[in-house]
Amino acid sequence: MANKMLRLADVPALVEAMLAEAIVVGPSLSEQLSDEAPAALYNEIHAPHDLWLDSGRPAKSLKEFFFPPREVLFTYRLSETGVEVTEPELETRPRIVFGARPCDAAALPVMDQVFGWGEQDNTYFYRREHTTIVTVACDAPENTCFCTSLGGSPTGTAGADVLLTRLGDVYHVSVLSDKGAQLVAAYPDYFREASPALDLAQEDTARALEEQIVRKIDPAPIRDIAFDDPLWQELTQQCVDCGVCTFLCPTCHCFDIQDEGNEAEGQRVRLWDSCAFRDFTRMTVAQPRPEHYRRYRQRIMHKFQYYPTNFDAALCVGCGRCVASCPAGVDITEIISRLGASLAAREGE
Amino acid sequence: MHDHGTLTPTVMTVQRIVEETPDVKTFRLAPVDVADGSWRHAFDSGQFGLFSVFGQGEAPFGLASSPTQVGYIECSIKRQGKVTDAFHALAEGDQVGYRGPYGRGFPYDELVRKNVVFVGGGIGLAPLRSLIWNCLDNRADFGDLIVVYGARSTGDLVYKRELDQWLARSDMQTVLTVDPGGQDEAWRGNVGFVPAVLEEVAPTVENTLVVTCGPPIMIKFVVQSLLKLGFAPEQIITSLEMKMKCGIGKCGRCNIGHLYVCKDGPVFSYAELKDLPDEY
Repeated sequence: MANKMLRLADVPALVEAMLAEAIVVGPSLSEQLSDEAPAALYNEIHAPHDLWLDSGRPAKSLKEFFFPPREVLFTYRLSETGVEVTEPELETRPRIVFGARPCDAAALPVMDQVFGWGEQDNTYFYRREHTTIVTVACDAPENTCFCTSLGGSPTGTAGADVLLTRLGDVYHVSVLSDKGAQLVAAYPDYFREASPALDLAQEDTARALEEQIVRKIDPAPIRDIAFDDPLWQELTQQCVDCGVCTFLCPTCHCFDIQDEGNEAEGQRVRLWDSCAFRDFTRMTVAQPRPEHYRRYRQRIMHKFQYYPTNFDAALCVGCGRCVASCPAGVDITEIISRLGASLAAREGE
Repeated sequence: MHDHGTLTPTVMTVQRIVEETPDVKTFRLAPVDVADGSWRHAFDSGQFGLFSVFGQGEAPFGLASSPTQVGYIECSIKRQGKVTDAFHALAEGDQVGYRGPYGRGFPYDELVRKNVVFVGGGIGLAPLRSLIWNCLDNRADFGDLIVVYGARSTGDLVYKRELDQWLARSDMQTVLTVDPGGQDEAWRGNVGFVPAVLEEVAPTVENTLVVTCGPPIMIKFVVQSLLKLGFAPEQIITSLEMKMKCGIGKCGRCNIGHLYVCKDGPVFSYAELKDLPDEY
């Protein structure tokens, strides 16, 4: 598909045009945090000036727009004739995510595998199908980013329909999917013809940006690490099981299902959950993961051994949020390095 | 528009409740809109469903009726927590939620033309009962059928009327036992733990598959007894229990290594199990 060019100066008018037809979600200044250091969150935006395209990595990932932290599955009401179950109406307007970071888009195909295998999750895929994803290349990756170790990059294209790469006062527009082509075709006044020279400039920029990712991990050895490796017990004693890493993670997808209400009326909800929590696997008669180390092992093994065994990819895109936000200083890249070094040392013996 | 929500249950009427023991009840359920006895639910014995009392929550239980049964399904629930308490408080005519069937059931096709030994403990007889009736309804397709079933006490034996029917049949062998101290004066069965009784029964190894369900500690010792009797790990089939929410491989809590009990199980052969991480 032919690439395009978008002038920075045209972005407000383009967003205005999109808002007339679709829900637009993008990085914007978080109001809750506005008296502290400015931080971006992905929010629904209502005017072009809400959008903050060079915000850096938003505090939370994009996953809540497909897999909400609290989702009403249905309401129930007991009447004379029995139980009446009503599912909520889903949003019918199309949705455009404008300005997602490539790592957050890359996480979506990873989650698609889980929500799609066996019985498909209908509401998740409804939202996926109704959303077009426009990513913007990362101009200034953070020192906690490690996407290049997981197959991504600041100009990565996985999960995106359109990628914007800033080149001076224009964006190079990579059209990546049919949905992306439809979006670009819908706004011909703004998405203009691009010269071959612009493509070359984009490639140069992509290479330069990739070099800015300095944090590296090698997740491959974790594919072979033993479940009963003695290292597991010492690795993360400072972890306080708060679950922040799992909630901020764009690929963590574990959930709980709870009823809210009484026997007359209420709703069943799906809620984000975390393998860090003791209750996560606790049954009335047994608890397979009573100690902390078992729960952290589950997190690492799920991301770098179990999911790869099932889907041939890691359950991690290297966004670095868990590294940046852990209150106890647990650094997953350091954990991976220590496990890898320990394995190598033992193999050398 | 989207289809029916993946996690939305079918509303079912509780047609009948049988009190099996002081803490186990069996619930007969059919969809509210197919109450005329014509409902056919396609599933394999050993598969499970998510059963819910609206307002109290959902929990996984094995399907306890045979797939050959037309008109309804049954599940047997032991009272031991919030959702199970809510089930025990139900009356006939109440409505509940059901979604399923889920998971991999017993390998019925592999059992055909073989001798089958069913080894159950306590409420663990529920999924076996589904399979036993399935086999009995196609009796000519199988070799010898042997049931070894035990509970803590005579009062804890489930499906007592059906146990009597099985004892009376000449085309199967049924051996019942209760744990030492669990017998009463009327008890005519064995007294002893299930693994020990199984070793006395000593079923033929050749051309035989063993299906066992019960408390984890019982399964552990049953497996040891079977290996001692000469059975290979491939001949031993069991069913696991783990905490589950979705039942369809997404909520992320029932995995043992890369396998999901809800999706790859709950039925596993011992040959498969012994290679899994010890976290269940």
